[in-house]
Amino acid sequence: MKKILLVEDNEDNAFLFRSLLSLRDYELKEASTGLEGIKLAKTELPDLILMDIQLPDINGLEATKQIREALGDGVQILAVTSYAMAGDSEKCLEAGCNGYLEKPINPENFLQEVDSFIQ
Amino acid sequence: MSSEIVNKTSMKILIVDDNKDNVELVCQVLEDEYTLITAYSGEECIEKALVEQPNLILLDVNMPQMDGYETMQKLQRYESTTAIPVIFASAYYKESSMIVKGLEQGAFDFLTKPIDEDILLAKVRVVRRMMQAESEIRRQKNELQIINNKLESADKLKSIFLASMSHELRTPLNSIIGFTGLMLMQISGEINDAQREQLERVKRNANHLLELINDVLDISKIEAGKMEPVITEFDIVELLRDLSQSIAPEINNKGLKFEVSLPDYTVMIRNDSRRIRQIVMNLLSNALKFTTDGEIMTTLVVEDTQNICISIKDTGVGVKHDDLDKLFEPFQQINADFTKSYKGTGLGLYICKKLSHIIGGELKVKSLFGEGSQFSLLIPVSINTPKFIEKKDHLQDVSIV
Repeated sequence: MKKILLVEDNEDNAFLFRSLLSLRDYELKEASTGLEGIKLAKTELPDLILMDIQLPDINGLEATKQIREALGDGVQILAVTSYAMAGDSEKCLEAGCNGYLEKPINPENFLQEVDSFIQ
Repeated sequence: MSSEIVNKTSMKILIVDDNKDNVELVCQVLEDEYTLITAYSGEECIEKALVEQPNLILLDVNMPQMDGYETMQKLQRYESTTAIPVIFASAYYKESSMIVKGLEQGAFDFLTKPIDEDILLAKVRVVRRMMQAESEIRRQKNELQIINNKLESADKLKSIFLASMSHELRTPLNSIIGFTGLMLMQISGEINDAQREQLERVKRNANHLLELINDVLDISKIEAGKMEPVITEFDIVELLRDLSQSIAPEINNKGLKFEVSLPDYTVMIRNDSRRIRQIVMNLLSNALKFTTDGEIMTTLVVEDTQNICISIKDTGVGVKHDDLDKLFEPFQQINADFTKSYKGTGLGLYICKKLSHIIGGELKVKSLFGEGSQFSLLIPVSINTPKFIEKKDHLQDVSIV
């Protein structure tokens, strides 16, 4: 079973992503801060990380950089963020994300993106 | 000129002449109104000018060793003395070429010996007025600089505010749109028709709110001059076919005829496909919104080798002639009959118009009230906006440096 790590500090949004991902056969791990995300990425070795960018301790860009350094290119990281100003998607890709999804997400589109990144 | 406001006592004049009597004479004329410094040779003039920073130098031309011309040339080499105005004084001005030589070398004015007291005073006052004007300009420049700094920080603050507003609104919208979508997917249980209708309304309004956020962000970017076209080469026919296909179901659902007339060959253009898509989509949505029966027509016409024209025509409510100008102003949605209002931010056409300029084109409208409207977007086949050229020039400059 493929493993997904969700890094999201907003409980409502985490609940939404959890509900959507329950429609698929993925094992889901969750972190609500950047540091926790890094820790779980290292111990759980997920196939895909859904990374929020604004987080309580260190932000998703920094977390992504550290995870990339620790785990290399093996893990897919998809930024899922409300940062939608010009240049924000580029910042995510520069930090090492494989893709960028803008919030608010479209539920069907979200699942399609997750499926395509985890392949 | 280093001193600020120049008043009677603060304007400092350096009088240079190898003849002590001449210096004495000039001093007598000026000492009531000005602070005076004296020097008796070119060398002494330069020394004192550097130390005292006078506002004006009255310089004798004919001096032993270093003459007036040479002295002035040396003064011009020092940063702190180069801008001090010099008035030449000499008995040899009978020859006009001497005057010309002095002025060409940078002298501010000249005086003929024997010095006429009134002319001397008048010419010094001219310099004083000039300095007062310069000091006023400097003061205004400082003020403008301060205002400019304030505006820049206000602009920065606005950008931070907009970015933060965008982020903070998107986060709850993610839950609203997401959970609504999830319920509409009927994963946690079936919903009945009434519930579906209610949820569709939540979804529609949430999406409307999202559009409003995006519109406000677009406008702030446009007005800050920060929106630049992203140029790629693409087939405009394919783009229009795509757009038409995506909106066709909605048009048909409303019982309207949808006619799309596109060339049967590819038309490659170099322009910003995302912005063209945004404009055309907006025009099509408008046509759909304001048309209750009849049809909507999309056509692409290749005008000439330079331009193409995309037009969206509808048989909707139309616009009164007097209201046509207001159409492209922000927040001016014009209600056809003043009793029924249409959904929308009132920003769409304003943004379309601005975007059309950014992509080097023009958006025009023709309309008959009660009959329908036709919007025409004229776009250059290959964009060459002034901004684009400016940017290139800038890069070239950098590479030369």
